[in-house]
Amino acid sequence: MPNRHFRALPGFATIVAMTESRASSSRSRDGTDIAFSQIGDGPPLVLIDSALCHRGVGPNRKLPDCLRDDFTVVTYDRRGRGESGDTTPYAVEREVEDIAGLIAAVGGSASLYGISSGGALALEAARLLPDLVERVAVYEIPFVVDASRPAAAPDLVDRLEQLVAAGRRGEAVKLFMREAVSLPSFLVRAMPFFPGWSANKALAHTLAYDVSIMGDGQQGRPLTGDRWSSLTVPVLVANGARSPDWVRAAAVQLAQVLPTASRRSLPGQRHYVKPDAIAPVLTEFFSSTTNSTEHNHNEVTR
Amino acid sequence: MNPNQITSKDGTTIEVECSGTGDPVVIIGGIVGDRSQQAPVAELLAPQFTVYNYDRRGHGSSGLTPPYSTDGEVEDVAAVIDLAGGSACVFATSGCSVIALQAAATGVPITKLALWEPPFIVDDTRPPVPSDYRQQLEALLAEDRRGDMVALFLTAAAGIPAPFVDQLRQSPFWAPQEAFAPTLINDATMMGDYSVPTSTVSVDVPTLVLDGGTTPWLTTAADTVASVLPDAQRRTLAGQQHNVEPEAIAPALAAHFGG
Repeated sequence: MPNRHFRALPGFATIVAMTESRASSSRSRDGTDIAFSQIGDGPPLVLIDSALCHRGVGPNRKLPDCLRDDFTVVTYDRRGRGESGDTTPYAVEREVEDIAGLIAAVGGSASLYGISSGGALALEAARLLPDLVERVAVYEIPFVVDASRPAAAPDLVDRLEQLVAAGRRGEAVKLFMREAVSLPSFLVRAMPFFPGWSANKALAHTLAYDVSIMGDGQQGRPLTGDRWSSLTVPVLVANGARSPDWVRAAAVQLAQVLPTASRRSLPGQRHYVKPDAIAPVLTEFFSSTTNSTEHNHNEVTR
Repeated sequence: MNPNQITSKDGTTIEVECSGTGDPVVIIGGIVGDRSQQAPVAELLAPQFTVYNYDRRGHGSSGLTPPYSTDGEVEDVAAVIDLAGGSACVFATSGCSVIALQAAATGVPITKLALWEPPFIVDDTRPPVPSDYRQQLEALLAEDRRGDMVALFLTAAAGIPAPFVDQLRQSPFWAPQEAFAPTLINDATMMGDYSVPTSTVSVDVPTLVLDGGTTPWLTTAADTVASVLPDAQRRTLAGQQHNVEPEAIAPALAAHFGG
């Protein structure tokens, strides 16, 4: 069964022992309670989920168990999901503050691993919190850097917000899947047949958050390094070797434009990366003390 | 107090959300999900009825007392109806029809019943569910392979083509349903061999059997259940998919329960 996570009383960062995983909550700067869990021993490592995922749900689900021997692994429900609160108006900076709050709660500095749009959030946190973030690994941030898939329209956030405000959550999910994910239209039409449809609709209000995090990065233009020029922490850019061309092209380009990045392509993997494939890569990267600035390399060319 | 926490016969805690005013209607829902699935229907019925929407055992905020049995689910419905004042109309969606039919057949005080697309497999237009479906789910859960459990459910039980499932699995659409993977095992027990329960013939309450006319095997199932029930009405909400739109089904339920 899914963990029942403890929700702390407002104002208290209470630690409660629950089997081996410790669940608690951290109050973010704007007053939003962010529920998190931690497990394992070692330097803190915060896992950042992608769209529609939260603790216990998504590709990061089994990662804490894979990483707990080497790290204090922190997982949390991003605002608007699971056991965490939500406060309007939304801004990406609020999510960065949520991460700052978590880092403060677990020791004052941490490394970050983010998957998909969670990877973009991890980079944004590293940019805005240079004193708190040690190292960053990202997996397949869905930047659209060329014309190999349709770009997302610049007004996507607005349209998602309008649909959710009008109570048309299903339409919002379809719009997101069509334009942000570029899911084929026959699959978008099939989604309401799936049992997961209602669970998706329940999280529809958070889709605009993930699109906001991607900023103008899905509009088919090459990435420039300007946004991250101040980054000094080592960054690992990972992708699956079996992922679509546009995803791999984005990873290659991101690793090139970041000042301090290396890249790994994981054989056999696609977007929903398997924990036993990514965990050893993360362990190696986050355990390393070398600064990869000195060898910006693409180990695999695919 | 809302939501209400009640105790079922075997001690299991069941969480029930009440809303609205009027004659009581109990909703049995939550397939790969909790009571939030049917919350929009509850909201649309609330102006006319007092709606009791609850988390099935093992789902959401309700408890689970092993070993699972459909009898326990029937006792849960009885407990909810008790909370509702001793008798109620019941709406069951999809596989939850099994619970409603068994409850009505065994004398749980149900005044009227409505079923949405009970997924019984009674024709050859789709492959049968493998006889070891439940065992396959258990083996996958033992290895904590929740994604594979959902994929097995979608292909083997729900009859969705594997290429669709494979593509959706790489998309953000996938994750939210994985949370409910463990509930698939109890649902497999509840569905048995996916045939129409024999108790259906002794359900003597007025029953509305609904389908959307978009999935042939589900239409055949609805026809069959209606023909077996002693007091059935049959209605098609044309164009509706298995995840029926709340705005489409609520008026049909209101007409049946209020009529």
